Amino acid sequence: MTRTIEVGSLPKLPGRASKLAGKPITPAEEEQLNEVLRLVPAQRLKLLVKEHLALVSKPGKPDASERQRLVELNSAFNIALLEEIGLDDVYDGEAHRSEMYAGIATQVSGLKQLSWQVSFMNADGDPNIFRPYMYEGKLGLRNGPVHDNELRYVLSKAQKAVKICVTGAYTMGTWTDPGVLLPRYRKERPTWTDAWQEAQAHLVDEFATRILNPTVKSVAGIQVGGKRAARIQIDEPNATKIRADDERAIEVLRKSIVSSIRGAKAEFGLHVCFSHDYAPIAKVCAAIPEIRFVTLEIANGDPGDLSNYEKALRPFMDAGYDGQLCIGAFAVHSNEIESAELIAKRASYAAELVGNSSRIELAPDCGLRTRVLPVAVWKLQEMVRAARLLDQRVVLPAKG
Amino acid sequence: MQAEGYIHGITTHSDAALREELDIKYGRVKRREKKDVLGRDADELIALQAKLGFKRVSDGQLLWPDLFRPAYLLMEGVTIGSQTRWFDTNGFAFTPLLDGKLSTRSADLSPVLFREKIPSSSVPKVTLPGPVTLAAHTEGAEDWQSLIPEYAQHIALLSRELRKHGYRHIEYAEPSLLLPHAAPLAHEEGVVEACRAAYGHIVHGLDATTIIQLFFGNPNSIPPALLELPVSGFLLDLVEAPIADGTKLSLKGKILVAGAIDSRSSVPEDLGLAERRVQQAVKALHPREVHITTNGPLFYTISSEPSREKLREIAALAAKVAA
Repeated sequence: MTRTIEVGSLPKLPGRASKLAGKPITPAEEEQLNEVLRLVPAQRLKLLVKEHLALVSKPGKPDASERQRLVELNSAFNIALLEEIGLDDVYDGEAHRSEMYAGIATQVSGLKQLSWQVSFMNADGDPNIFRPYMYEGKLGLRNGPVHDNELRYVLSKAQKAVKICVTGAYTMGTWTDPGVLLPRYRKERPTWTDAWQEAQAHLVDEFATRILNPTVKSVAGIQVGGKRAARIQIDEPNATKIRADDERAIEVLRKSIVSSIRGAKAEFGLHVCFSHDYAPIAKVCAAIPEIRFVTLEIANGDPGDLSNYEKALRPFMDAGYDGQLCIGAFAVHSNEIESAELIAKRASYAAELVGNSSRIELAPDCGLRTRVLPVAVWKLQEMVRAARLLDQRVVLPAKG
Repeated sequence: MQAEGYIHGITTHSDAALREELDIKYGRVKRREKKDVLGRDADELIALQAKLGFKRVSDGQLLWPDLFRPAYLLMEGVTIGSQTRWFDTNGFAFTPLLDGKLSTRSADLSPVLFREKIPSSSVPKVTLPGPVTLAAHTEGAEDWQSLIPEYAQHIALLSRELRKHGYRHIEYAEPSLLLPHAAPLAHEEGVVEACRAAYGHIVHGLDATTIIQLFFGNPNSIPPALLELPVSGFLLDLVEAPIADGTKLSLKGKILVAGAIDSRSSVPEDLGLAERRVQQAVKALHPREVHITTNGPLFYTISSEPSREKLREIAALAAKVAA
């Protein structure tokens, strides 16, 4: 059976943001919910939507208990949605988190939140922004391990295997302004670049040992009704800034992963995206035997000749990585629905390349939070349909 | 020595503007209001520059989505390419994708500049992408160096048009000349010669102060011949490293734009250290004038509020150097 997994985020349930702002659900949001129910007409989804609609239709801003219920309903809905679509590994679309960076940073002492920063302006010229934090002193967990409560909730609701994702120390450290660390290292190093790299390495190490390791160990140990998270995925989108010739940065990443998972028992994986060159990532994955799966953004920018798949997967073969390869089966930055046939063709090609179809799993390129929910659902449905085509061997030749 | 401060180039929007832009992005406010939002932001930024005593004034190029797009989207033979990391930062730009023979379709950048907001008593300033950096970032080119003259032709036309609109200070961002760190492009065979031809064409007959910005790289790795290009001066990244003792570099008769304020860190600058580096550079390079700015654009690398603090630090450092 071809395994299908999700990668992380889903868009928040339509109406949730409006309710939090004290505004009524819009007709467009209601239509999105109806569309999702048309695409996945499952009774348990209908019941959850009914309760959600009752909550978001109440006038005014939600009180604390209503806010909590909004999150729980969103979480339960996403789990049920992914299960009904037919994915093998599920989570809750990060319904408990604002976004992947802030979800951890807000729980960490020793950091100061800064004002908005632009990461890029999109094709329409609109900003993509985030609020970075700046290092002020020794990092610590404000209220204990970060994801315990959400994982307990997810385990209590999920019927299928649960895969939790945790933002990795490298990404946390390199998205954070090193603050006071920089002047400290500038005194010791000949160039700003040297000092910056040392300061970031310091920060990544603190995140790994003081934040990620207790968090990962804790989620690996949580059991609800005899059930645990089957997989723990470490998300490192910023690891793709590492150049193939930058041995120092490759070692910082490797060490951060080893430190983050030390003492924890689970099936670990790594998710990376936005890369033009996966060679450094492949090197790191091959060097850490505990990394048993890797999920990669590949479909984005696929010129249609499958060359992106060869470019992405070849470094893993060359590095001697022997774990699962969860290929980015479809792009997440556009509304275009890539067909099951195309996805199956990509997977078939990947299997040919690797020489072992059981090592290939299907995943979205990345989290789906930038899509509206019906589009996300439709894309996931095509991916699951592709898995069934592969299982039935109804696949066109990979090339041609 | 006199020293004046100014903005490096494309500048981040204020928190208030970014909030309003998000409303536009998510359809809560009409898109046509975007220019008004950024116009108000430009008013504030220009007022801040006046307060800080900047004579060369920029609108922060707030309408520019990144350094590249406004320039190359006025060309034929090139289209919007993929999202590419802005050097070793957490920012991304959309770089050009070659799809034909390069030529200029229009040279009019006025729709993306608030020229009318810059007071007549100031020197209007703008930063363009340099032809080498544009060429080095172009996807689909078999021989990137062969694109330098074509981009130079376009940048020359843009510069002339900007001059017609009153821009008397034009800078050309060329971070690619000093990067990647292991092997700066400026050391590749033929690049300095290509720069000489490109900038000879760009500045020919152009009655403006022209500066080539060399940043995010060690100034000590600059080939001395590069500083002989026929422009008014060079921006050197003094945050990256101080000018080494016994340097062979010289800026005799040219302007030193000291990129001495760190554009990539939010911590307050050590102005004593920055001043020492500027003085050391002046002593070693013998420039005719000194200008002070950040070592890179205050755009992808820093939050909105600290970015405004950096402008105050530029002014403070200029005052220290002048004293």
